[in-house]
This record gives sequence, structure tokens and C-alpha cells, in this order.
Amino acid sequence: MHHDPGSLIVKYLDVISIIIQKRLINTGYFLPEEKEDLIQTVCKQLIEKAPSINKNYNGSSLLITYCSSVINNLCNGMIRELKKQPVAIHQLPDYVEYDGYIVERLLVNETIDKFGKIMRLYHNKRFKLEFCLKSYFRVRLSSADYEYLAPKMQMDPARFFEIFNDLSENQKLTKNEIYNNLTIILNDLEHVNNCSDAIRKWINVKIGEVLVLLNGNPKSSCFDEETLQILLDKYFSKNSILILH
Amino acid sequence: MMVDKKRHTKFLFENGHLSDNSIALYTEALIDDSKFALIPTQVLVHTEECIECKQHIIETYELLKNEEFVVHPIIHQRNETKVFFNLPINQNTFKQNSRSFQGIAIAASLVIILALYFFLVYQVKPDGDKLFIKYFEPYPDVVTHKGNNSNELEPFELGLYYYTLNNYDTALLIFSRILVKDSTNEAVLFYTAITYLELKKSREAIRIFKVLDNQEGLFNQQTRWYFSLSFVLQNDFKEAIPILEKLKKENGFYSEKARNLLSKID
Repeated sequence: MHHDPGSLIVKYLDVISIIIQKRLINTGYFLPEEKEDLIQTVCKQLIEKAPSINKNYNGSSLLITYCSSVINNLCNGMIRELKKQPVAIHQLPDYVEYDGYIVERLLVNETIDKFGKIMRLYHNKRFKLEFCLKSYFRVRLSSADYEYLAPKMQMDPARFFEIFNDLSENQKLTKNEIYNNLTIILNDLEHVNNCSDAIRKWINVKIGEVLVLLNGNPKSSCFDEETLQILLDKYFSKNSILILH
Repeated sequence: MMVDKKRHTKFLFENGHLSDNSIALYTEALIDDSKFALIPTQVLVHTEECIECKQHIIETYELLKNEEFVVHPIIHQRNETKVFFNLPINQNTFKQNSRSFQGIAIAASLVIILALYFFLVYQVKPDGDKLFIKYFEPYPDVVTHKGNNSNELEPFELGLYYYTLNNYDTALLIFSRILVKDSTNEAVLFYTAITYLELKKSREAIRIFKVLDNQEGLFNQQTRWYFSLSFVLQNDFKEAIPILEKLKKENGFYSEKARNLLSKID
């Protein structure tokens, strides 16, 4: 690339075009007629960046994926520079935005897939997060949850079963009771001594994070706690057996 | 190999966040689970806690998840990486391995000769993907009234507007929203199925075409044509052939195309 950065850019022109379409035009920040100019701008910036790409690329991923990440960064920079709202005509019309139907039908698989990928990013914290989300949003816990937790618990098995069952089945639990039950189980699991307020704060922070990730930047969805609950219902009914790491 | 490994652990972070290398590797792992094992622990741990990096990974994943060049990357991409970047190659390792390379080369040549033999003796099965690309063209928007001066577009027209802009994700979003309220609208169902085909989601398209094929309507022949192409895309020629035979006998707009496609797969 340092010999002839242009040739690689020509080769990846389609990729550049796809990313610009998805990131800058479909999101409504630029008009379709601006696409050619945007491609030119990105190509120019890529050529300027060629030496640093050449120096930093470590070969652990496909070059095309690496370049996609670089191009995405360039697009984000262009959005930030503009400091403007999406142009009206390409903003999604009102009826497309959430009004009770966004998790319906054909969209649901896409969103469930995205949610699943978000959960994967939590790696070692994934079980804890999913367990807390289920409990918080009153989604029934699964036998896989029980089988994962039970052998790790040091408390009396009957006591554990009682708390687990309460979290899973008792729909009348108050939020405080949920936090208390979660604290008992998670303290035992992680061998810590946190108060229920700590778990409350942790759950709230994580819900905020998940919402930000689901909604995207720029915002392309309008998930809130209420719609997240619907999504969780669908996600966990589809993935009743958790993939644990 | 050692050099590559060392290089792979370099440049994982930049300004306290994941570098483009790590973002790209994580994105590929989200697309292909088997790559998770390649992600260095420090990258996994950082991502677990960093919302910005999570956001960056999800963004890149959303951009690439349906793109063939990442989902099914062609083999020579790795080689091209070396050509463009002159990645260092450990000369000693290369020398030590040159004998085994020779052995591999001989074995590979034999495999190629055998493959060529079978290719010549037996007809190679047609490639559904290639045939689909050759024969598929999105059906034009025949619904929107071009003379309509009104600034307000009907929902379906708006969906078609995005459809004609090749913005299939948004078009699908709008079509599906219409179908929630009116699940039997033939034209919306038809364009939804075509949109699915554009997105290479043949299974979803087939589900809709099955419904349309069982009813008499405005898009009968078109439905059959695209219905058969959906099976072609899936390499399921057994299902595609009877539909194409039917189209051929109808002597309509698609008869010649059907005859032509049949000759390639029958």
C-alpha cells in the first residue's frame, strides 16, 4: 500500500461506497446526490492515511475489515464536523419510528441478532448481565440459568432454590426485593459482599449502556426500558439455552 | 508464524481505546464465532467495560454483517494483505518448511489434476449464487404514479422510493410496518419478497412467494419468476425446475428467461 495506495483504494471502492451509503446517506446526514463527493473525500483521506494504515495494521483480521473500521471512523469524523441533524427527507418517517410496533414481525430478527451481539461484547460479564436483566424485567429464568448457578453456590441449596424460584416466578416482587435477591445470589457467586444499592446502580448503568448500543449513534431506533422488556422477552424465548463462556 | 503472532499482539490499543485492528478482529468474531478464540484477553476485558469501544464494534458489525466480502471472504484476501503491506516473513521458518511445502505442493497438484479429471468427466453442478446474480434484476417500481405532484408520499410509495434508491434496509422497514396493519396487501408482499431477495435472504422471500403463488393476482408471472430465483439462490434446483417449467409453458414475458435458465440447471 505504501508503494501504491491508490490501487487498494480502487479495489475497495465498492466497500467505501457501501459504508458511505449505510453510514452517511441511509442515516440521513447526507443526500444521495452527495455520494460521489463523499466517496472522493473518503478516498482522499484514505490516501493521506495510507502510511499510518501500513504501519498499524497487524494482520490479525482481514484487511477489508480493518479498512472498514478506518472508513467508519472517517465517516464518524464527517458527521461530527457537520454538527448537524439528519436532513429531513432521509430521516425515517414518523410511522417507522417506535410506536409500539418496532419489535414486530420482520424487524424482530434483526434486532434480536443485534441484541445478541451486544451481549457477546460483555464477555465474562455476560451471564451476570443477562441474569440481572431477566430478573429486573421479570423475564422467566431458564433451567440453564439454574444449572449454571446451582453448582457454584455455597449457600444452602434449598435457600438458593427458594430465591431463584422467587426471582423467576413471583411476579409480585418489588424492585427492592429483586435487588435484594440478586445481591444474595451474586455475592455468593462472586464471593463479594456488596449491598443491594450497588447492584441497583450496576443494573441501571448497564441498562443505559444497552439502550445506547441498541439505539445506535446517530440514533436509528428509539428503544427505552419498556421496549427493551419486549425485546428481552423475544430474545430469551428464542435463546432459551444460554451460551455461556 | 512467530513473527505474525508477535505482530498480531501489537497495535491492539490506540489512545486508551481499541485500535482499528482490535475493532476489526472483534467484528469478524461477531460474524464468525470461531474467531472469538483469536481475540486477545486484554481486548476482551477492555471491551467488557468500555461503552465507546462496544459502540464502535457494533457499528462496524452492522455495516458489514450482510456483506459477502466479510461473511465469505475470498481466499486471496490474505495474500493481498502481504502484497500491499510487505508484512515480514520469517526467512528461517520459510527455509525449514520448504521441504514440507514441496510435499504439499505435489499433493495439491495431484488434487488439482484429480479435480480437473472429475470436472471433465462429470458435469459440474450449476452454481446457484452465480446464476442468481446473472438472472436477478429487481422488479421496477410500477406502483408509484410518476405524475403525482403531492409532497406527501403514501407509506407504500415511500417504501418504493427507498427501494428504487437501493436502500433496501429502510424499504424493508417501511414495507414490514405496512404489513403489520395490512398483511394481505399483494403489492407490498411482492415488493417485500423482492427486497428480501436483494438482501440475499431467500428463505424469507420464499415464505412470501409461497403465499402469493397460491393466489390469483396482479403479479402471478413475476411471482413465479422470482420464486424460482429464490430457490436458485438456495441451490435448490429441484424446487426451482417445476416453477420454471410452468412459466415456460405460459408463453408470457418470463417464458424465454425461464427456458434459458432451465437450460442451465436442468
